[in-house]
Amino acid sequence: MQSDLVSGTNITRLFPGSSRQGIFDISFSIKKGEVLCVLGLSGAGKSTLLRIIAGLETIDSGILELDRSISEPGKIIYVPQDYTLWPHLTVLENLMLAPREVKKLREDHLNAGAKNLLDRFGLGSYGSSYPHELSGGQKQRVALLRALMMQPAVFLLDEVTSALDPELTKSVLDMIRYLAKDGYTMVVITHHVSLAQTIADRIIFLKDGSIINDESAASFFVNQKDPRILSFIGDAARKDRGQDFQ
Amino acid sequence: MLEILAQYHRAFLGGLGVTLELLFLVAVIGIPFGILLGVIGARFIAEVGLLIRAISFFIASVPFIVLLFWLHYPLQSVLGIVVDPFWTTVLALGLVNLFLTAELVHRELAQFPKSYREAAYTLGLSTAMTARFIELPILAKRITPQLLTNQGQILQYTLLASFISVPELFRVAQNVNAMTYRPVEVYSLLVIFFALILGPLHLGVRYLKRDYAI
Repeated sequence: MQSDLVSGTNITRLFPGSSRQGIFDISFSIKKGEVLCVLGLSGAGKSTLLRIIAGLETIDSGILELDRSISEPGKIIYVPQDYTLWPHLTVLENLMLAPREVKKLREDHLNAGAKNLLDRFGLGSYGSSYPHELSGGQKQRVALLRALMMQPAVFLLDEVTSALDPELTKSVLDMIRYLAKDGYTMVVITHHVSLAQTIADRIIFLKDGSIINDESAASFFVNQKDPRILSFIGDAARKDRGQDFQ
Repeated sequence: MLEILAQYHRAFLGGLGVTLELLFLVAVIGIPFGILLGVIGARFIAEVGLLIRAISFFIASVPFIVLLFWLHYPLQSVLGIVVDPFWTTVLALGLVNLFLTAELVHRELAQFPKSYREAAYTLGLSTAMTARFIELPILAKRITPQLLTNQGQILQYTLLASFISVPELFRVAQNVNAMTYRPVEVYSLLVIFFALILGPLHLGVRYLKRDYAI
């Protein structure tokens, strides 16, 4: 993990008159192969940050630079917390649509690849199912696989387990760990400290739209002195232990 | 009843032809232009969206028969023109269908989940691809049942054209009844006709809502 795939300098995005949290004068970078976890309380601006990187939000000021290798469509994929599977397509069709249309890959080749992925993640029997026939955890795993089918350079995962009950959450967290082990560059917003501890190379902590901590995961968890962050970690860890996500 | 039908089948067929012609013309005017207007209002010109809502509200507030009479008598009198009642009905029903369709499309587009479009965007689909593969199929599934229900409603409205002497099916039935004084048979024929047309339509809509709509 060396070169910066994404770098932001003094980025500000405000939402005047809206309850949405903006971000103020934020600078950050994402290196190739890095797993960056973004932590912070609700309303800290975490989702805004990811949506800016994904190109779903404009910025008011600052500079967002993307490496040339990821400037083409489908290289940065954002997976939000609510289910975004297209409801009129089956699971297989959801997986195959973007690579077929954007990358112009052959249908038979894609079909085999998609089935292979579904099998690998325990969803092999759901290829012809429609999204409304799946559980929340299955939907999120399919959403991740749909992103994976595009072989993205950067995964942006925005609290992908927040709408799931504990049992379903575990299956999705396992999948994220798997992707992290596979060397994908990922930016993960999570409230599961245990997940951050196991996959993150670096942690950014946001509060009220500003970065108050940006350091390696090891240092973040071991040498943490900031009482606001310690309090957050303590609360989140207690919740994780209560739901057995360790 | 069969005797009446046998004796006046030409008149009934003529009335049926006028009713179906009305329905066809009203659908041809209302559906494509309504869809176009709804898309323009939801996606391109917000003021058109406001206009659609205002006119739809007006249409919902004014009974169709009043609108039809207003177009047929005072408006033509003020403008000093005489329009065939058939075409006045086509205009009135066409406008109703157009704004019912436009309101439906406008509402569904406004409620279309942003997350579906955003997923398409981040996966690299272009705007045209997103419209073709995501938005249009989903909208078609959502809109079709209500669109069919609207056409059923329009078919019922065609009966009101008899009040301005359009020789559609109901008007023919009235004329036949005036000649034969056999209202039970004559109007039972109408009941059977509308049940045969609207019954399957409503069953179809129920099926679509249950198994097809999203």
